[in-house]
Amino acid sequence: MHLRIFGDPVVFQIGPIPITETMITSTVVSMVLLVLAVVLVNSVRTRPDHWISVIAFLVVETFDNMVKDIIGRRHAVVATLSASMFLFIAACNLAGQLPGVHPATGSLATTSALAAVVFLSVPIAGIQTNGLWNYIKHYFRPNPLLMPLHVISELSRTLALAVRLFGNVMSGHLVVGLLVALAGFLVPTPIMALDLLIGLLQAYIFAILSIVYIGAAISAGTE
Amino acid sequence: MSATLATFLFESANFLVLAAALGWLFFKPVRQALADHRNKFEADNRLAADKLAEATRMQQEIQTTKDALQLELQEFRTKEMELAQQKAQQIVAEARGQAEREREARRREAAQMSDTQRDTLAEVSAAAAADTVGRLLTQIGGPDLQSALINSACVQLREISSGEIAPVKIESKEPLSDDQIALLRSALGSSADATDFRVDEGLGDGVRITTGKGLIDASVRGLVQYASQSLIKEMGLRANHHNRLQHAGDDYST
Repeated sequence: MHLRIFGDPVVFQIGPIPITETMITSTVVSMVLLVLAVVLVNSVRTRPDHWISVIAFLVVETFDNMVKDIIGRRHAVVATLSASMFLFIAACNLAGQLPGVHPATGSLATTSALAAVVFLSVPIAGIQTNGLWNYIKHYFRPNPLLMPLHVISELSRTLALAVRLFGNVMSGHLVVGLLVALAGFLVPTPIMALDLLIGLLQAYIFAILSIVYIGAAISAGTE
Repeated sequence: MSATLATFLFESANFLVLAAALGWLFFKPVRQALADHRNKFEADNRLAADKLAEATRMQQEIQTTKDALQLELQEFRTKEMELAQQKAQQIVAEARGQAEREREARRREAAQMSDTQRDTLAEVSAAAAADTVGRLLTQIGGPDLQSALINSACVQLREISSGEIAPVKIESKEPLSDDQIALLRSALGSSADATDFRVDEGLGDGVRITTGKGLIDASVRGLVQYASQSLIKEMGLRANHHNRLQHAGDDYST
């Protein structure tokens, strides 16, 4: 068994662009999510009282209420972004439980990309809500001298987002791989169950933190 | 291009595309369905609230109508009770008057029956007494009774013969003797010449004298009739006197 931490093997190349295993996994996960979304929406349209439709309603309503609780009002874009992150991360973590599949969230490039999306979403949401000047002003409050600390804070929390998710998923996958290599096939089952729970928990944490960060930017002008 | 950078860029683009696709394919329709459900629920809720308000209003109207009807019914009942009481009192008064009239009629009828029975009894008693007196006078009859009756007739004739009393008719059961005729002529005085003597066997002893001023009946039949009439009259007087006392007692007790 080949265990890797930071490496991301290239499966094939399209011209100068290398196609890695993580890219293939995340693409498959995205396709599965889209197919599931189509199935759920079809159920919602045709059989709104079916339990599949209830799941769809539950997911959307849960994230809408979560955004409303954190930000103070409903925000469809933020809810869609955070719910998509939760679903994508959770699906990647679940896919990592399959034998021979390397979870996409076990790659620092993937978690960095997600953190970068959140990092870019924060100023976009803040500027869109409060305007450029009002958003920039919040970096200088309560004292202009604290502006570098604000910038460092945003960078560090973005880094923390990426590293937290990467570390948890990669470590869990690594422990399961080590146990499989050392003890046998069924021994790491409890660890795999724990890894499944940790994967869902990390997805939830990532989504919640993204809502908090974006919500803070939206309400920055009102402080 | 390094694999890490390519993965980073691909994952960023992949996630953005996935988020956009999920937002378009999943979140938007589901939110729309939720909004439709919510609107339908609110519409149903408003409709239910409107119906509840309508029901409450109708209930209040029904209650108001019910109260008014109950009040009207109470008034109608009171009025009807008063009318019924008045009618009952009127019926009772009429019945009481009718009963009083019937009672009076019965009393009068009873009194009339009592009078009739009394008169019948008096007549029967008088007839029996008169019969007894007639038998007695017949048994004691004779010249002395004849003379006594003629003397009595003469006394009465003298009392009324001061004026003209003719014509005079004298009846007896058998022809009178000369002495008796002379005695009667002397009593008649100036009217003696126009005297007609006749015989009536049913008279018994004595004479019956019919004059222009009246009748002098001194015969046994006349005495018997006089006794009978006197007895009936006396019994009638006594009976009326008794009834007056009886009525006075009834009035006093009432």
